Amino acid sequence: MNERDRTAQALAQLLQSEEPEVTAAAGDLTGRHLVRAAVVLRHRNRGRRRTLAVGALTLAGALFVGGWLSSDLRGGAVDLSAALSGATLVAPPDSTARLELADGARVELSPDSRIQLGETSDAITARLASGTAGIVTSDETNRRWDIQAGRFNVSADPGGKLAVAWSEGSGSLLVDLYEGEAEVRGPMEGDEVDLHPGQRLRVDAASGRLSLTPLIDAELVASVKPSLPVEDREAPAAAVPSSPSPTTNVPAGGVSVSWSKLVSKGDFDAVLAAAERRGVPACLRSCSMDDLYALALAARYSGRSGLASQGWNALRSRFPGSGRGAEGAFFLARQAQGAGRHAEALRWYNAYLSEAPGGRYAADALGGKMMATARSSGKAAAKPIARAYLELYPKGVHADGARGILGGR
Amino acid sequence: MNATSSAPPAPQNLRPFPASRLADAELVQLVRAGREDAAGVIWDRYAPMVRRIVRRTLSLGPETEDLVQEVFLRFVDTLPRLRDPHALQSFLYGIASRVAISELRRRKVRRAVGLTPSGVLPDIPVAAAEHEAREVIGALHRVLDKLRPRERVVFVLHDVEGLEFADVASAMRLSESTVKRAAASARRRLAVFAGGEPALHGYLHEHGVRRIGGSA
Repeated sequence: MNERDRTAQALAQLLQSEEPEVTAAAGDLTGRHLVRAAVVLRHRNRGRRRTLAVGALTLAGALFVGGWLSSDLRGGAVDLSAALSGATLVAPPDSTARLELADGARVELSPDSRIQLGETSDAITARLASGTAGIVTSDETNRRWDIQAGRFNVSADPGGKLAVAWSEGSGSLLVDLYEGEAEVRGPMEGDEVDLHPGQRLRVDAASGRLSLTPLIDAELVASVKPSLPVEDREAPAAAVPSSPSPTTNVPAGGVSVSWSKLVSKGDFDAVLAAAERRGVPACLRSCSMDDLYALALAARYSGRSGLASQGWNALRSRFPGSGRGAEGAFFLARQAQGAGRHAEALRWYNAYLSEAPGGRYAADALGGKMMATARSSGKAAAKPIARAYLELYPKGVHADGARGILGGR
Repeated sequence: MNATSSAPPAPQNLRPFPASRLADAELVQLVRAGREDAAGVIWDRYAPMVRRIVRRTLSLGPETEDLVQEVFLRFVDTLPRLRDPHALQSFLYGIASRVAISELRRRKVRRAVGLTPSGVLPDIPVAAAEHEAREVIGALHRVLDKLRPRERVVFVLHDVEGLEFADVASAMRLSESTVKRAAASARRRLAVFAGGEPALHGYLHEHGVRRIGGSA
């Protein structure tokens, strides 16, 4: 156990010991009564609600068949519980369209944007075929939003505000997060970025370049506007550049910020610039483990795969046996797999899994190993790994892939 | 003797199985059927757990009971979406965590405009009356307040409540890897922030932390 874990454990114990057995008799009685009353009321109203729900679904069918949706998106807000039938919604070419779902969530589509909505018990799903969608998720129903854009998936928590722009042609994705938390996953395992309020993620799928920067206008964050970011209103996804925008610098006043912190803020350019000032070869030889890890991550997220590779290799040779060194193997595997070098990827996945069998990327590594084996040696060779994966991670992100391998010939 | 004389005892001798001893899944089905007494049993069974999470996540305050009630009202409202009635506890963990996250975000906004979380002066009752203990507890809550909402809830559910990552992920409807990253980030930030709270140093030293505020 390291010092951080020891600190967290001690603080957790302090929080546990602090727990007073406060008698909440008054609160208990009120709450108990309240929840019982809520059940009675809900049961009483159930019949009426069911009738309304059936009515809404029937209407949805009629709207879809009649092609009413695309024409009526023009202008004001419409109740789009109907839209959850799976119809593709198209905003008119000359104005934005605002949709409002029954749970209070709102969507604003820029002109010509196309989106398809659906729902599961846990999430509202959206497939953004093209254009820009500003989304205000509802925390009324506690459902997250899963927004698919090409091969990317943006998962936003309930109660969040964000804008997603996608261009199929250029393979460019932009995500601005104003409120809440979001996670963006790419097509490869390990391609996931946590977004925090006030951050902008840009990905250029063609070059693999990714940048995570603060939103330029901080007031946008403070005002928490649900509408689209100003600069993306007119030409949403096409305007997404393939190069990263300028990022923040080291704060004025000479306060030094750790590279790890800069990476967590998404300020990759600052880390790369600092490494270059120090001299990259010297850093690879003598930087601390944390700095080296941060440098490799910054390089990876900036699309500088050569430098990232050097960083991971230096981390492994200088800090063998460390958790960070093991993660270096995982990222080298990712890089090799992304470049189609499956045999090499397999070697690195095996290295990671033997060095960190319970590591935080263990599930992704096993899934990656399964896919790399299937690609390099065929599905038959990957079957034992698929079985192991399903046994360990039956609900994992590769579970469908594993089932496909086991079900295939 | 007539054969009918050996008939089973009359039904009035049978008592219904006490609702307080029903399994979670049975209670869920009864609530779905509109039985408010079952809702009362669920309240009795889980209100202490929900109260604990709300307190630990949000620090103690007068709004605690309001939020506990909000959790249960949301539970009644969203019950039709509970697919597996056996997963009642996890379902409540999830609602409690989302209510806590919403409240933490609201507090952040209030703090940003110069108000205390509730808009009134803070009144944090602590069990230990001693001044030193108060200082330690106060410092602990200041440190926790600096975590991001998701990190704080993950820390409470995993490190304090002892839930497995998979269970936290299921309750919060996040991927396990996201939860693990939030937990790691929470630990990293807790260590750093604890370094800035001298009142915690003695306690941490006693618990074997050699380098306070330090790295791995």
